[in-house]
Amino acid sequence: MERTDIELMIQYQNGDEEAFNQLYTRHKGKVYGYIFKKTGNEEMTAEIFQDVFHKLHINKMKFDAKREFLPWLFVLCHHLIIDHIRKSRVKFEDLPENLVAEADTFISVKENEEVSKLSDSEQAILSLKFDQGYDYNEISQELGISNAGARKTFSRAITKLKKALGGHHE
Amino acid sequence: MNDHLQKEWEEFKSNESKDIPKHLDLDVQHYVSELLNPPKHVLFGKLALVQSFIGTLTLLFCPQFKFSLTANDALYHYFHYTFGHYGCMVACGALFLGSGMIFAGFLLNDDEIRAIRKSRTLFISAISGASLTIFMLIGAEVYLDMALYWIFGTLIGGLLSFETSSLLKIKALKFF
Repeated sequence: MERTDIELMIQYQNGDEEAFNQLYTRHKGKVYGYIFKKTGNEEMTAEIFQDVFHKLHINKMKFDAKREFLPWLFVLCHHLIIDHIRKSRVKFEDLPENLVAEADTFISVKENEEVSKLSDSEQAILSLKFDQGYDYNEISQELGISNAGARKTFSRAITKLKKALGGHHE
Repeated sequence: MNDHLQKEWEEFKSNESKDIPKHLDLDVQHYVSELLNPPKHVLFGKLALVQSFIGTLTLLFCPQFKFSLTANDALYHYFHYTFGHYGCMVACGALFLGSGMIFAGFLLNDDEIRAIRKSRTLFISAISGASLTIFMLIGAEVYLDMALYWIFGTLIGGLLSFETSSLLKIKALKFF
Protein backbone atom coordinates (compact mmCIF):
# COMPACT_ATOMS: atom_id res chain seq x y z
CA MET A 1 0.00 0.00 0.00
CA GLU A 2 1.36 3.40 -0.98
CA ARG A 3 2.49 5.56 1.90
CA THR A 4 0.89 8.99 2.31
CA ASP A 5 2.93 12.19 2.16
CA ILE A 6 2.71 12.60 5.93
CA GLU A 7 3.88 9.03 6.57
CA LEU A 8 6.79 9.61 4.21
CA MET A 9 7.69 12.91 5.89
CA ILE A 10 7.69 11.30 9.33
CA GLN A 11 9.99 8.58 8.07
CA TYR A 12 12.16 11.16 6.31
CA GLN A 13 12.43 13.06 9.60
CA ASN A 14 13.73 9.80 11.09
CA GLY A 15 16.44 9.66 8.43
CA ASP A 16 14.77 7.36 5.88
CA GLU A 17 16.36 8.17 2.53
CA GLU A 18 13.90 6.03 0.58
CA ALA A 19 11.02 8.03 2.07
CA PHE A 20 12.59 11.24 0.79
CA ASN A 21 13.13 9.74 -2.67
CA GLN A 22 9.47 8.74 -2.88
CA LEU A 23 8.31 12.20 -1.79
CA TYR A 24 10.68 13.81 -4.24
CA THR A 25 9.59 11.61 -7.16
CA ARG A 26 5.94 12.21 -6.34
CA HIS A 27 6.13 16.02 -6.29
CA LYS A 28 9.14 17.09 -8.32
CA GLY A 29 7.02 17.61 -11.43
CA LYS A 30 4.70 20.08 -9.72
CA VAL A 31 7.60 22.00 -8.20
CA TYR A 32 9.57 22.22 -11.43
CA GLY A 33 6.58 23.12 -13.53
CA TYR A 34 5.43 25.84 -11.16
CA ILE A 35 8.86 27.44 -10.88
CA PHE A 36 9.39 27.38 -14.64
CA LYS A 37 6.01 28.96 -15.22
CA LYS A 38 6.87 31.79 -12.84
CA THR A 39 10.41 32.47 -14.02
CA GLY A 40 10.34 31.40 -17.67
CA ASN A 41 14.07 30.79 -17.33
CA GLU A 42 15.62 27.30 -17.21
CA GLU A 43 18.73 28.34 -15.36
CA MET A 44 16.85 30.16 -12.61
CA THR A 45 14.34 27.32 -12.46
CA ALA A 46 17.11 24.79 -11.87
CA GLU A 47 18.64 26.97 -9.15
CA ILE A 48 15.34 27.52 -7.34
CA PHE A 49 14.36 23.86 -7.78
CA GLN A 50 17.49 22.72 -5.99
CA ASP A 51 17.01 25.38 -3.30
CA VAL A 52 13.47 24.14 -2.63
CA PHE A 53 14.65 20.65 -1.79
CA HIS A 54 17.71 21.91 0.06
CA LYS A 55 15.47 24.05 2.22
CA LEU A 56 13.01 21.19 2.60
CA HIS A 57 15.81 19.04 3.99
CA ILE A 58 17.10 21.71 6.36
CA ASN A 59 13.60 22.39 7.68
CA LYS A 60 12.26 18.85 7.68
CA MET A 61 12.18 18.67 11.47
CA LYS A 62 9.89 21.71 11.55
CA PHE A 63 7.19 19.97 9.53
CA ASP A 64 4.13 19.35 11.67
CA ALA A 65 2.59 15.96 10.92
CA LYS A 66 -0.84 17.34 11.81
CA ARG A 67 -0.76 19.56 8.72
CA GLU A 68 -0.76 18.62 5.05
CA PHE A 69 2.52 18.29 3.21
CA LEU A 70 1.71 19.73 -0.22
CA PRO A 71 0.62 23.20 0.98
CA TRP A 72 3.78 23.36 3.08
CA LEU A 73 5.88 22.51 0.04
CA PHE A 74 3.99 25.09 -2.02
CA VAL A 75 4.63 27.89 0.50
CA LEU A 76 8.33 26.99 0.57
CA CYS A 77 8.44 27.06 -3.21
CA HIS A 78 6.48 30.31 -3.53
CA HIS A 79 8.67 32.19 -1.04
CA LEU A 80 11.88 31.00 -2.67
CA ILE A 81 10.69 32.16 -6.08
CA ILE A 82 9.91 35.62 -4.69
CA ASP A 83 13.27 35.75 -2.88
CA HIS A 84 15.17 34.78 -6.02
CA ILE A 85 13.37 37.28 -8.18
CA ARG A 86 14.05 40.03 -5.66
CA LYS A 87 17.72 39.17 -5.43
CA SER A 88 18.21 38.78 -9.16
CA ARG A 89 19.96 41.75 -10.71
CA VAL A 90 19.85 40.38 -14.24
CA LYS A 91 16.29 39.30 -14.68
CA PHE A 92 13.30 40.79 -12.90
CA GLU A 93 10.40 39.80 -15.12
CA ASP A 94 9.89 42.66 -17.56
CA LEU A 95 11.80 45.32 -15.64
CA PRO A 96 14.51 47.14 -17.58
CA GLU A 97 17.91 46.54 -16.03
CA ASN A 98 18.33 50.06 -14.71
CA LEU A 99 15.20 49.59 -12.59
CA VAL A 100 16.25 46.33 -10.95
CA ALA A 101 18.43 48.13 -8.45
CA GLU A 102 15.51 50.40 -7.65
CA ALA A 103 13.38 47.36 -6.85
CA ASP A 104 15.79 46.45 -4.09
CA THR A 105 15.74 50.06 -2.95
CA PHE A 106 11.98 49.95 -2.60
CA ILE A 107 12.06 46.76 -0.59
CA SER A 108 14.57 48.18 1.84
CA VAL A 109 13.09 51.63 2.26
CA LYS A 110 9.40 50.92 2.21
CA GLU A 111 9.09 52.50 5.63
CA ASN A 112 10.81 55.63 4.32
CA GLU A 113 8.58 58.70 4.13
CA GLU A 114 9.42 59.17 0.45
CA VAL A 115 7.27 56.15 -0.35
CA SER A 116 4.32 57.65 1.50
CA LYS A 117 4.60 60.76 -0.68
CA LEU A 118 3.74 58.73 -3.75
CA SER A 119 0.15 58.65 -4.91
CA ASP A 120 -2.14 55.86 -3.66
CA SER A 121 -2.07 54.10 -7.02
CA GLU A 122 1.73 54.31 -7.22
CA GLN A 123 2.13 52.86 -3.71
CA ALA A 124 -0.40 50.12 -4.47
CA ILE A 125 1.41 49.08 -7.63
CA LEU A 126 4.82 48.97 -5.90
CA SER A 127 3.39 46.89 -3.08
CA LEU A 128 1.65 44.44 -5.42
CA LYS A 129 4.78 44.12 -7.51
CA PHE A 130 7.40 43.67 -4.81
CA ASP A 131 5.54 42.43 -1.75
CA GLN A 132 3.08 40.10 -3.48
CA GLY A 133 5.10 39.23 -6.60
CA TYR A 134 2.24 40.13 -8.98
CA ASP A 135 2.96 40.48 -12.68
CA TYR A 136 1.51 43.38 -14.75
CA ASN A 137 -1.53 41.38 -15.87
CA GLU A 138 -2.47 40.60 -12.30
CA ILE A 139 -1.86 44.18 -11.20
CA SER A 140 -4.06 45.53 -13.98
CA GLN A 141 -6.84 43.10 -13.00
CA GLU A 142 -6.52 43.88 -9.31
CA LEU A 143 -6.59 47.65 -9.79
CA GLY A 144 -8.95 47.74 -12.75
CA ILE A 145 -6.49 49.50 -15.06
CA SER A 146 -4.87 48.56 -18.38
CA ASN A 147 -1.62 46.61 -18.58
CA ALA A 148 0.08 49.59 -20.21
CA GLY A 149 -1.28 51.87 -17.50
CA ALA A 150 0.13 49.60 -14.78
CA ARG A 151 3.59 49.64 -16.41
CA LYS A 152 3.52 53.41 -16.85
CA THR A 153 2.47 54.07 -13.25
CA PHE A 154 5.09 51.66 -11.96
CA SER A 155 7.84 53.28 -13.99
CA ARG A 156 6.75 56.74 -12.81
CA ALA A 157 6.80 55.62 -9.16
CA ILE A 158 10.30 54.17 -9.44
CA THR A 159 11.59 57.31 -11.17
CA LYS A 160 10.12 59.51 -8.42
CA LEU A 161 11.66 57.35 -5.69
CA LYS A 162 15.01 57.36 -7.41
CA LYS A 163 14.93 61.15 -7.69
CA ALA A 164 13.79 61.66 -4.10
CA LEU A 165 16.22 59.21 -2.57
CA GLY A 166 19.05 60.23 -4.85
CA GLY A 167 22.35 60.02 -3.00
CA HIS A 168 20.71 59.63 0.46
CA HIS A 169 20.26 55.89 0.14
CA GLU A 170 22.80 53.17 -0.62
CA MET B 1 -5.11 32.29 2.18
CA ASN B 2 -5.70 35.50 0.18
CA ASP B 3 -7.08 35.36 -3.37
CA HIS B 4 -3.72 35.74 -5.07
CA LEU B 5 -2.10 33.02 -3.01
CA GLN B 6 -5.13 30.79 -3.53
CA LYS B 7 -4.71 31.23 -7.28
CA GLU B 8 -1.00 30.44 -7.02
CA TRP B 9 -1.83 27.34 -5.00
CA GLU B 10 -4.30 26.10 -7.63
CA GLU B 11 -1.66 26.72 -10.29
CA PHE B 12 0.94 24.81 -8.29
CA LYS B 13 -1.35 21.82 -7.75
CA SER B 14 -2.24 21.56 -11.42
CA ASN B 15 1.33 21.65 -12.71
CA GLU B 16 3.01 18.50 -13.92
CA SER B 17 6.28 18.95 -15.74
CA LYS B 18 7.79 15.85 -17.30
CA ASP B 19 10.96 17.38 -18.64
CA ILE B 20 13.07 17.74 -15.51
CA PRO B 21 16.76 17.60 -16.49
CA LYS B 22 18.27 14.33 -15.31
CA HIS B 23 21.26 16.09 -13.72
CA LEU B 24 18.88 17.97 -11.42
CA ASP B 25 17.40 14.71 -10.17
CA LEU B 26 20.86 13.34 -9.48
CA ASP B 27 22.04 16.56 -7.81
CA VAL B 28 19.09 16.78 -5.43
CA GLN B 29 19.03 13.11 -4.50
CA HIS B 30 22.80 13.00 -4.08
CA TYR B 31 22.76 16.11 -1.87
CA VAL B 32 20.13 14.68 0.45
CA SER B 33 21.77 11.26 0.51
CA GLU B 34 25.08 12.77 1.60
CA LEU B 35 23.44 14.76 4.36
CA LEU B 36 21.42 11.79 5.64
CA ASN B 37 24.51 9.57 5.65
CA PRO B 38 27.46 11.61 6.88
CA PRO B 39 30.80 9.73 6.73
CA LYS B 40 31.89 8.17 10.02
CA HIS B 41 35.31 9.82 9.94
CA VAL B 42 33.69 13.26 9.66
CA LEU B 43 31.44 12.48 12.63
CA PHE B 44 34.38 11.23 14.66
CA GLY B 45 36.34 14.35 13.72
CA LYS B 46 33.58 16.66 14.88
CA LEU B 47 33.12 14.77 18.15
CA ALA B 48 36.88 14.81 18.74
CA LEU B 49 37.07 18.53 18.06
CA VAL B 50 34.30 19.37 20.52
CA GLN B 51 35.71 16.96 23.11
CA SER B 52 39.23 18.42 22.75
CA PHE B 53 37.99 21.90 23.48
CA ILE B 54 35.54 21.14 26.28
CA GLY B 55 37.67 18.38 27.79
CA THR B 56 40.62 20.75 27.99
CA LEU B 57 38.47 23.30 29.78
CA THR B 58 37.51 20.71 32.42
CA LEU B 59 41.21 20.27 33.17
CA LEU B 60 41.08 23.75 34.67
CA PHE B 61 39.11 22.44 37.63
CA CYS B 62 39.32 18.63 37.51
CA PRO B 63 42.63 16.83 37.02
CA GLN B 64 42.69 13.61 35.02
CA PHE B 65 45.34 10.99 36.02
CA LYS B 66 46.92 13.75 38.16
CA PHE B 67 47.30 15.91 35.06
CA SER B 68 45.85 19.40 35.38
CA LEU B 69 46.20 22.85 33.77
CA THR B 70 45.89 24.59 37.14
CA ALA B 71 46.50 23.77 40.78
CA ASN B 72 42.75 23.64 41.35
CA ASP B 73 42.00 20.09 42.48
CA ALA B 74 39.21 20.71 44.99
CA LEU B 75 36.71 18.79 42.89
CA TYR B 76 39.10 15.84 42.57
CA HIS B 77 39.53 15.72 46.35
CA TYR B 78 35.78 15.91 46.81
CA PHE B 79 35.25 12.93 44.46
CA HIS B 80 38.04 11.03 46.16
CA TYR B 81 36.66 11.70 49.63
CA THR B 82 33.06 10.90 48.63
CA PHE B 83 33.48 7.92 46.28
CA GLY B 84 36.85 6.49 47.15
CA HIS B 85 39.80 6.00 44.81
CA TYR B 86 38.12 4.00 42.06
CA GLY B 87 34.80 5.81 42.35
CA CYS B 88 36.76 9.03 41.86
CA MET B 89 38.20 7.68 38.59
CA VAL B 90 34.69 6.81 37.38
CA ALA B 91 33.41 10.28 38.32
CA CYS B 92 36.36 12.06 36.71
CA GLY B 93 35.94 10.07 33.49
CA ALA B 94 32.21 10.76 33.43
CA LEU B 95 32.80 14.48 33.90
CA PHE B 96 35.55 14.64 31.29
CA LEU B 97 33.67 12.95 28.46
CA GLY B 98 30.17 13.84 29.66
CA SER B 99 30.85 17.56 29.42
CA GLY B 100 32.16 17.24 25.87
CA MET B 101 29.29 15.07 24.72
CA ILE B 102 26.69 17.46 26.19
CA PHE B 103 27.99 20.19 23.90
CA ALA B 104 28.35 17.84 20.95
CA GLY B 105 24.69 16.85 21.22
CA PHE B 106 23.66 20.50 20.92
CA LEU B 107 26.14 21.55 18.26
CA LEU B 108 25.67 18.74 15.73
CA ASN B 109 22.73 18.80 13.31
CA ASP B 110 19.89 16.25 13.42
CA ASP B 111 21.34 14.08 10.62
CA GLU B 112 24.71 13.85 12.40
CA ILE B 113 23.04 13.10 15.73
CA ARG B 114 20.98 10.34 14.16
CA ALA B 115 24.04 8.79 12.50
CA ILE B 116 26.03 8.86 15.75
CA ARG B 117 23.17 7.40 17.77
CA LYS B 118 23.12 4.33 15.48
CA SER B 119 26.67 3.48 16.67
CA ARG B 120 26.91 5.60 19.80
CA THR B 121 28.84 3.08 21.89
CA LEU B 122 31.44 2.77 19.14
CA PHE B 123 31.87 6.54 18.82
CA ILE B 124 32.02 7.19 22.56
CA SER B 125 34.50 4.31 23.02
CA ALA B 126 36.68 5.69 20.24
CA ILE B 127 36.70 9.18 21.76
CA SER B 128 37.45 7.68 25.18
CA GLY B 129 40.31 5.60 23.79
CA ALA B 130 41.74 8.56 21.88
CA SER B 131 41.57 10.75 24.99
CA LEU B 132 43.34 8.12 27.11
CA THR B 133 46.06 7.79 24.48
CA ILE B 134 46.62 11.54 24.50
CA PHE B 135 46.89 11.57 28.29
CA MET B 136 49.51 8.85 28.10
CA LEU B 137 51.44 10.72 25.42
CA ILE B 138 51.55 13.94 27.42
CA GLY B 139 52.97 12.11 30.42
CA ALA B 140 49.96 11.68 32.72
CA GLU B 141 50.20 8.91 35.31
CA VAL B 142 48.03 6.26 33.68
CA TYR B 143 47.85 2.86 35.41
CA LEU B 144 45.83 -0.06 34.10
CA ASP B 145 43.37 -0.46 36.98
CA MET B 146 42.66 3.30 37.19
CA ALA B 147 42.36 3.52 33.42
CA LEU B 148 39.71 0.78 33.33
CA TYR B 149 37.55 2.55 35.89
CA TRP B 150 38.11 5.85 34.09
CA ILE B 151 37.04 4.33 30.76
CA PHE B 152 33.93 2.94 32.42
CA GLY B 153 33.15 6.45 33.69
CA THR B 154 33.68 8.01 30.26
CA LEU B 155 31.30 5.51 28.66
CA ILE B 156 28.56 6.09 31.23
CA GLY B 157 29.00 9.87 31.26
CA GLY B 158 29.47 10.18 27.52
CA LEU B 159 26.49 8.03 26.55
CA LEU B 160 24.10 9.59 29.06
CA SER B 161 25.14 13.14 28.19
CA PHE B 162 24.97 12.65 24.44
CA GLU B 163 21.57 10.99 24.62
CA THR B 164 20.17 13.76 26.82
CA SER B 165 21.44 16.70 24.83
CA SER B 166 20.69 15.17 21.43
CA LEU B 167 17.10 14.34 22.40
CA LEU B 168 16.62 17.88 23.71
CA LYS B 169 18.12 19.26 20.48
CA ILE B 170 15.80 17.18 18.27
CA LYS B 171 12.78 18.31 20.29
CA ALA B 172 13.91 21.94 20.13
CA LEU B 173 14.32 21.74 16.33
CA LYS B 174 10.63 21.05 16.00
CA PHE B 175 9.76 24.28 17.74
CA PHE B 176 12.44 26.76 16.59
